[in-house]
Amino acid sequence: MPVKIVVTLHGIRTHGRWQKEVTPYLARHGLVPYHLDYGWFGVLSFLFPWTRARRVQWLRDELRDLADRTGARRVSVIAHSFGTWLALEALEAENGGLRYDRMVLTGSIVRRDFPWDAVIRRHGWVQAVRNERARGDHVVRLAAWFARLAGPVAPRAGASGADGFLAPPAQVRETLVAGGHSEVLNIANYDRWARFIAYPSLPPDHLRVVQTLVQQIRALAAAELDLDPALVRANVFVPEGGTLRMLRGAWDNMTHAPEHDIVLRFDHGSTGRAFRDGMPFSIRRKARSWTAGVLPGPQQARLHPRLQWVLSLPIGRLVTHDQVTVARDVVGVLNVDGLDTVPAMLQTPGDAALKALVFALWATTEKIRRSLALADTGEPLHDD
Amino acid sequence: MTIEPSAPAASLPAPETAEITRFVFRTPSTSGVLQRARELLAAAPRELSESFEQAVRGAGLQA
Repeated sequence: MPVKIVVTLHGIRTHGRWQKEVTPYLARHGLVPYHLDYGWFGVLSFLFPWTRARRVQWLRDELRDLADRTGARRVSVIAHSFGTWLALEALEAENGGLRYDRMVLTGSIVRRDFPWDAVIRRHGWVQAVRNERARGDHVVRLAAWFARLAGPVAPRAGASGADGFLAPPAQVRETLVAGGHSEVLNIANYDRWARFIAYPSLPPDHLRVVQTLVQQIRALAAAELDLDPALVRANVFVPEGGTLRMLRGAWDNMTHAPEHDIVLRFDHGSTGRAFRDGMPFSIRRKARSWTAGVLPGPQQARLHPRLQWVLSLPIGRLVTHDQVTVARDVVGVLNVDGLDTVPAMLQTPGDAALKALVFALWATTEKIRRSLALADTGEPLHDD
Repeated sequence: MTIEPSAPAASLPAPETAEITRFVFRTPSTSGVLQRARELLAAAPRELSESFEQAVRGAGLQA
């Protein structure tokens, strides 16, 4: 599994002691820190466009060099203050040549109307953002004030570190912290930052919950479909980088290792369709191979050769819309599938017992949804 | 709650309809689905039945 590299960027008038302090928290979640230091950068340097531009170019060069040497297609970023501005100026200047995975912004001076919708949803230049902000952060308000007064030489700055971003998409999570510009660098939150960046890798508390439910759902399905439990499996797919991938460890009886690396598009098979439409789908094999178009050849080749059927349940908030129950804010798909034979019940989709079973299995994914949704924001497990 | 017969997805190209089924669950009139689902969860671990009830409440599907 490729490692995730986390670039850290300090602010002005500091060398970023917090960058060293966050290292063990990143390591605990399997993340590789890469601390960048552009030296002492004073307030006066921030006021002049040419000194700011030099720092943006420096960061672009550093990140390109990092990508060349590691092969990383995306890096994650933790930045504070001027570092937040630098990271996003570099991203916009690269115009697609540079992509970030997940970003933690602290004491952000990025303009409040930063075009996150285009950057995340249209271009895919960033996957998700955690904006750690404090209403008492007067430094970011000062930066916003300067940006308004200084006219054409001003940086495109704003008080997003105090007041948040304007109309951000769901992938931008605002987190309010008590205090000011320094309190957003609170060591008590470093583990949350690491969890946020590590997602969809699950920390032990969330993984335990998800594993337990996946095992129980698989056992229930096997019993109700009257199948040998050894022939029934379960796994969870979650979105990552515009595709669906199997969530490591959140599976039961998945012993065919090539399947662990299957990559699905949102229209692939029953899994992709369940994710896209927010409704359960089943798929069953009717010939020697799966029908062309269900999965592209390289992904079909990874499937267990004895796989015969899949029931895909979207993991989302169940709501009733136009008298139809659908999953909203879908965070993944739970697949229950089976080897060797298609159960009789699955061959009669209108069967009342099958519908009750599908609904029961679907609704029991609610606690998996809660855990994944929390893990996606970096928050640990909360007691109900 | 009533649930329509699970229907082949109409939008899918013909070669796939033979294999893929979309399950459509319609409300609000009642049927045995919620009751049947609860019955089969009666002997299941507590985590599953709790999870089920939370989802049902969230969707406004009280039987």
